[in-house]
Amino acid sequence: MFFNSIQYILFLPAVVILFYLTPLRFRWLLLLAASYYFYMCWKPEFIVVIVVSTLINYSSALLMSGTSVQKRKKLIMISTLVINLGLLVIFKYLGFIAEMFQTIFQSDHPSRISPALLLIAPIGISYYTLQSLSYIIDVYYGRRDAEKHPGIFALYVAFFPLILSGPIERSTHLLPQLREKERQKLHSVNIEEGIKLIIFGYFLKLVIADRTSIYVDAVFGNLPRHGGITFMAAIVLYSFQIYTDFAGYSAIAIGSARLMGFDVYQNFNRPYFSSSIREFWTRWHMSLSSWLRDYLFNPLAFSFMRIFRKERYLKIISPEFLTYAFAAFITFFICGIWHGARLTFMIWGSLHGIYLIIERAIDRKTGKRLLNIFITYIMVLFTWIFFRSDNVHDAFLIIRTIFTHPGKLYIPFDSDVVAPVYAVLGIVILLLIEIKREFFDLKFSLTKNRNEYVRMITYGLLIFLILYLGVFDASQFMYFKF
Amino acid sequence: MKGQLKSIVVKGIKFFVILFLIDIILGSAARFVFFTQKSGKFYRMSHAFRQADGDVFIFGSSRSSHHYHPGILDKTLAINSYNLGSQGQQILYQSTVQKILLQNRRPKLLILDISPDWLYKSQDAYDNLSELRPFWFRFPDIIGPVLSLQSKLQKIWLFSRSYQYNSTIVHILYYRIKPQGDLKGYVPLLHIMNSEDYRVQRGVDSIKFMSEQDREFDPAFETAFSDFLKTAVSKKIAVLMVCSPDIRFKMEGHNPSLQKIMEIGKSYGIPLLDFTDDPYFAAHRELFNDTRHLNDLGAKIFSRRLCDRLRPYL
Repeated sequence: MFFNSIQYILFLPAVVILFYLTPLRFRWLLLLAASYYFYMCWKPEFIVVIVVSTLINYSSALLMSGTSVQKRKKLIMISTLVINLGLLVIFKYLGFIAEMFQTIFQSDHPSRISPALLLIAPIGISYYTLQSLSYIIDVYYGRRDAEKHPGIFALYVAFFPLILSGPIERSTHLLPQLREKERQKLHSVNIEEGIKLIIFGYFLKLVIADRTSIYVDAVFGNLPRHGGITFMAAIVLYSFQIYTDFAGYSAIAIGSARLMGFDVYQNFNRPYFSSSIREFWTRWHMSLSSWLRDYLFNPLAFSFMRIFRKERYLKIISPEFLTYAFAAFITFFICGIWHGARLTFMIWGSLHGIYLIIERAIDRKTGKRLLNIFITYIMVLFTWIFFRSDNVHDAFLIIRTIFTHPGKLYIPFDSDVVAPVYAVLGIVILLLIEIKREFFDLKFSLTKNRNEYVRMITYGLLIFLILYLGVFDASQFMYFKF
Repeated sequence: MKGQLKSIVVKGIKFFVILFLIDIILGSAARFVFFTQKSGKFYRMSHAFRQADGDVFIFGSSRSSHHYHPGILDKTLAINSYNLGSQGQQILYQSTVQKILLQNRRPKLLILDISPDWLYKSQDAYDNLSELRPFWFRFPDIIGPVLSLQSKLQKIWLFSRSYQYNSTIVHILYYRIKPQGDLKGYVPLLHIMNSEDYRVQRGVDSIKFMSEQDREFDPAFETAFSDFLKTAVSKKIAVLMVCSPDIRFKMEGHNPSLQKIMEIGKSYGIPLLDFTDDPYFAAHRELFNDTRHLNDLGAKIFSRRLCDRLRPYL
């Protein structure tokens, strides 16, 4: 059941209506049942993985809070982290690791990987694993108490708007909301805001992401046929495709949760208007970047700082800079791996790590904001080449072609000629909205107008824009596969 | 709680009324713009469904629309023909269009340009049926069941007038700004395939051909193909299957879908003209736009050569 399927459009209102009809004390049960049903719509057997993961994390947290012996607490925490990451590695990376070893040791027998190693990763495992890890770490450090209600905890892990691709929630933020009775009362403002977010999410997904994908897929599906200009156009379109696909998904997820009164983390904040890569990561996939900052970068930086402060031979480079460089690179390398078991993702992550280190070293800001935004966008665009390419060879082929063989811009003929035009039209509308929000602090707003008819007509027109320009074949959201 | 519920219900009703009104206004405008087109793919479809009359109708995919020049057929054979070929469309579409046309017309001959992989399962074949949506309100009994093959919930969506014109507006505007000449459904391609094009496309074609080996048949496509022939035979209209020039393959090859098409055709006694092994085209790559499509010059030559072989059927 995709968010952009008719099934979800029927499922969501049914759950919301039942949610408000159910007495407050049983609502967790309804939501848990709905979440498991939603999850099982893909592959019912995957529910076993999520239930096992939930039980392990639930019991570990209780065990941790039940002991005052620090060593024991630490042992439980580490073993739980190992189990969580082990599940992730088994399902997501085992095939890749086996393949890598095979390439190193038996490169002439590429077909020997056991099919048992090429498991299909349960959808959403990368997201609910991070959510569970943060819970365990928070309980260990005493930032929150262990959740005693197994049902509420299971709902925190499997809450249907978030389970597939986030936003990655924190136990300190979402878990209390699942118990808060006042929040779960029916408020018209929640319904209105939820519907508005969902409509905007569908606009991003159906009108921009799915339209741009037609051109991007045509180009990336046939690389030898195209020249540099076409690749540049495809990469620019891809930058909007991946943004609107994921931002659209996130908006629908946040809107769906909001319909039931839950406040979920924002995931995007006009990332292509960032003046630096550092700023970009405070606006792009914010729930992941803040998770990485809190649970990976900060502990790493703390550890490195202790090491580098002791080293006397590092007089030329400050220990702070070295600490930042090591922590940033490792964090973004892991961020790349988190996206998938592919060399291209590792390069993508590493490039972002390197960008951050260089930015810190040279302070590249010129003072002109527009120029900084442009430079940052170009830098991000370059990394998308690796992110989108199927392998490193393809990525380098694209880069080489851009510089050596510009060629002609590929324009699909006849009826397909409209596909890029629709996409560009959608992008222009999005940019107008974002430019207004980013640069102009206008009091006048159609979407937040005090007159409810103006708001309704605005969103009504947005729905019709989707009906006229959208793609309606329920294609998948891209971030599902990460 | 009650106050909030009342507020939500009232707002909901207001919103639905606004949506309904916008749908009526914008949907009617879209319908008007759509049916007053003078050029482009949708114009050709609209014209064919409403007005086109003739002795010969040509059905097929993009290869049909780019290969058959009705002007040449009309002049050489003293007939009136119309090319209904449509890019990306497969047998489900052809069968539907045939039903619409034969409701009130009795041509002498139907030419069906065969694409060898028509009977294989293909999501594109279903997705491309969306181009029939704007005509649903005129032919609901014929188009409705076909669109239901895309999704059973299409019927609900089609209540929206605006949805019927999904993905058409930019297309209409594009051809208003840059109109195509009206060549009775024929769309010329002007590129001349060079050796580099040929080399690259052969590579892509061979990969595609390898992947086609394991493809399964779609029973709905087999039924649609049989229906096409059965309908024509029952109305005593002659049908001719043609494999127009294609640089990728020779027809007597090993494509199981094509073999099945030939079997079904044979069972209805439908003759087949094969131009895929025509040495004239095989030796002249400059007559092609790409490995699948003839260019304008190639199409004109093909149409003339076709005329010689069509005479016995008219």
